[in-house]
Amino acid sequence: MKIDGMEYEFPEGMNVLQACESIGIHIPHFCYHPALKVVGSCRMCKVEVIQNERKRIDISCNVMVQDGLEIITDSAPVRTARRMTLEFLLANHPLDCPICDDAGECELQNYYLAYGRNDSRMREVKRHRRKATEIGPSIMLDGERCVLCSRCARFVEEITRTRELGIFGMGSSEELMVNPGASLDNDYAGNVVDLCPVGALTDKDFRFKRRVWFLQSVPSICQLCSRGCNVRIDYDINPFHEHKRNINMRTHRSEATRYARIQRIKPRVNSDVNGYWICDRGRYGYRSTDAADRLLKALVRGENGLEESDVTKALKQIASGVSSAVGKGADRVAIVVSPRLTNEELFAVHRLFRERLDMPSMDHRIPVDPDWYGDDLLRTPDPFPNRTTCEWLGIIPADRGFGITELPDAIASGKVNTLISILADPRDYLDETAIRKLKRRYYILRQMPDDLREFTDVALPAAAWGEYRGTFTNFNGRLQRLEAAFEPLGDARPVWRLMTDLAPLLKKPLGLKSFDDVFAALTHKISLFADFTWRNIGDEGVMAIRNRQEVTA
Amino acid sequence: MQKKVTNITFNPGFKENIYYPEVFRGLWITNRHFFVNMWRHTLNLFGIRTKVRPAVTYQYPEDPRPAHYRLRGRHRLTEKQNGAMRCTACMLCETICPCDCIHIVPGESPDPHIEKFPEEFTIDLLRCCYCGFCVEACPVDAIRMDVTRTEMAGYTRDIILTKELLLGKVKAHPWENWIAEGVEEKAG
Ligand code: SF4
Ligand code: SF4
Ligand code: SF4
Ligand code: SF4
Ligand code: FES
Repeated sequence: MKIDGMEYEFPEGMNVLQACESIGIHIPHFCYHPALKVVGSCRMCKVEVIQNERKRIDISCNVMVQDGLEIITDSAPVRTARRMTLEFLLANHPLDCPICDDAGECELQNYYLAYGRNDSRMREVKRHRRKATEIGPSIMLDGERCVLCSRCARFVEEITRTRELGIFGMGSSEELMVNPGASLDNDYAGNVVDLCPVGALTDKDFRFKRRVWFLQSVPSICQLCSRGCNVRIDYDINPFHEHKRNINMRTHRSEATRYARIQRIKPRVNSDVNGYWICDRGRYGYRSTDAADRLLKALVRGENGLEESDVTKALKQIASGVSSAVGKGADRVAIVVSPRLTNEELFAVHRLFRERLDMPSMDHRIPVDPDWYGDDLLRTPDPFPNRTTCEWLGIIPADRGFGITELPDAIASGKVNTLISILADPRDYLDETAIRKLKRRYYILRQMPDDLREFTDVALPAAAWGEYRGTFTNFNGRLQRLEAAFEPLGDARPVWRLMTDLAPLLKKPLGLKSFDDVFAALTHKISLFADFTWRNIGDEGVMAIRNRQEVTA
Repeated sequence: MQKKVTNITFNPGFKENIYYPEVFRGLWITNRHFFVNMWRHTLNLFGIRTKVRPAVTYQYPEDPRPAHYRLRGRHRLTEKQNGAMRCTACMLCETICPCDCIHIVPGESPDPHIEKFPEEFTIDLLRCCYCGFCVEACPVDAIRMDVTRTEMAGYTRDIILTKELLLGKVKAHPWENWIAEGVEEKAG
């Protein structure tokens, strides 16, 4: 078929809109969405269709590609048709852009610039609708801004099957609303905000927080379950903000979240992992990075209790503690590693403690939060992003070693007297008497709850999500990349860096200087990663295995 | 990076060495201005040749110099007729500001008819270059720069205008308050 005078071939079953997008011609549209059924309600996607020598203007989302079709995407009649459609859509639209959170990423604004007329011919009074209505715990609806594209209604109908939203009324009194008595509170509700082409549905979490044009973004991977949904971190570190935030950090830390760097999380499209969606847990689960209880300095137990110190001093303390414990037997040191670490961090931990120091008591199987549940859309039953690599590296107890389940007994009988807990709160897997009985308790943590302080001997600050680069391997064996959005706060640094700094103090240098060294060494270590480089993983990740049965360490 | 070093040598020649003539020329210019202006003032006093204006010294600050009507002075936030702030916290001024000196924290307005309003509106005046872009950008005429407000000196590096100061809710005349106490306490 022909588009704008050029011959193309497309597979059967594609519609014209998709076909045009695939060759880089953008057709304005509101209601069409690749993951949802076609309804053809907005009429914005009009193009000229020439079929059997007859010319007509038709909506491109509802015309299938076929032989002999000719499409003209940009001509005077097409532009007129689009302009008239837009005029109707804008007839009752409020002038809300200055206070609308969608301004800057609003399709209506974009198309208005392309096809709008700059004067209004509207003589009648604009129809008013409900504004700023809460329709769910995280979603606000502004009825006046809605263009009735029904994307959101189709999403809850087709994807989540929860059917909270519907379009009520007829003609110009048509209105989108939640069904009576319902509330848009399913686990994927946040996605309707991304779907809505205008600012009718906005996120309460992002409400008025920041204008979108201030945001910068990096691609990342959600760290809250083993699906590893592809996300985008939208952050903002304007120098004035940074300055303000630092002032606030110093004076009243609890307010620090107000000047958080991560402003919101948005999904990235990856048809092999998460499609177009992410769950609400992933969408709103970014607060830990800028949380008020972030550990920013190393803590070392001195004469007056826990004192802030520099990281080198804390590392020295750990090194001397570990060496004296190892002197009496390497199995006296238990190392608990959270599967929240990236591959590189896990690798560095494994190389130091297992390969160099030959410590048998090492485990990653910390108990799963009982409130977590999986579902059949995206969420997996495992809330840790990187268990696969823990298994591939063999972060499990070796002969004579103690796993997490045997740890309480081993501590009670005095066989283990030193604990190194990496990104895991020891109270999750040990009771308080056991922790008290330990002689040395070393933690690497991102957040330091105040009530953990009395159980701490040394705590090192670790970089939080968004502050480090790395890779995760999802439950399916897919290797995916995270980019760092900004520098770690305070003295925090990635765990692999702490390991490479700790190793020389234990007289076992790892010989890894930079992140690239660690990544290269990792691909040597795990044979499944042998073909991968940082670059060829790409933004969408690569499969390391075909199915999970091929697993070898 | 290699540093580039340029040696500049200055060899005063004969012309530079005899600088006495220049000293006297300077004195001559000063004296000419003095006597010419005195002559003109004297003539004006008797109503003669009033079209030729002699040089004037303003007794600032008691007697401020008249400013051009388009001068851009200190910022002010305007109010609606009912006394509410005009600003809707659209952040266009913050966006356009080339010096990053406006900082707005938007919030939900207590008035149900207004959705968004600035909870905090601060201008770091020492960063401001008085370009007036913020005034141009504002869609609702909420921010203006006044001709008369030009006195902004202080003994502090934190000349930060808060919302109250900008709205004129706190009176802080530069001469009386900023120097004596610092803006922050006044704004507090
Ligand atoms: S709220 Fe948004 S997504 Fe839903 S019908 Fe209206 S414009 Fe479309
Ligand atoms: S499904 Fe899992 S990986 Fe995806 S957003 Fe939710 S928690 Fe994150
Ligand atoms: S006058 Fe210019 S520099 Fe000063 S606040 Fe306005 S936009 Fe910023
Ligand atoms: S441009 Fe005007 S309305 Fe917008 S934030 Fe600035 S002062 Fe307020
Ligand atoms: S996208 Fe085709 S009618 Fe809406």
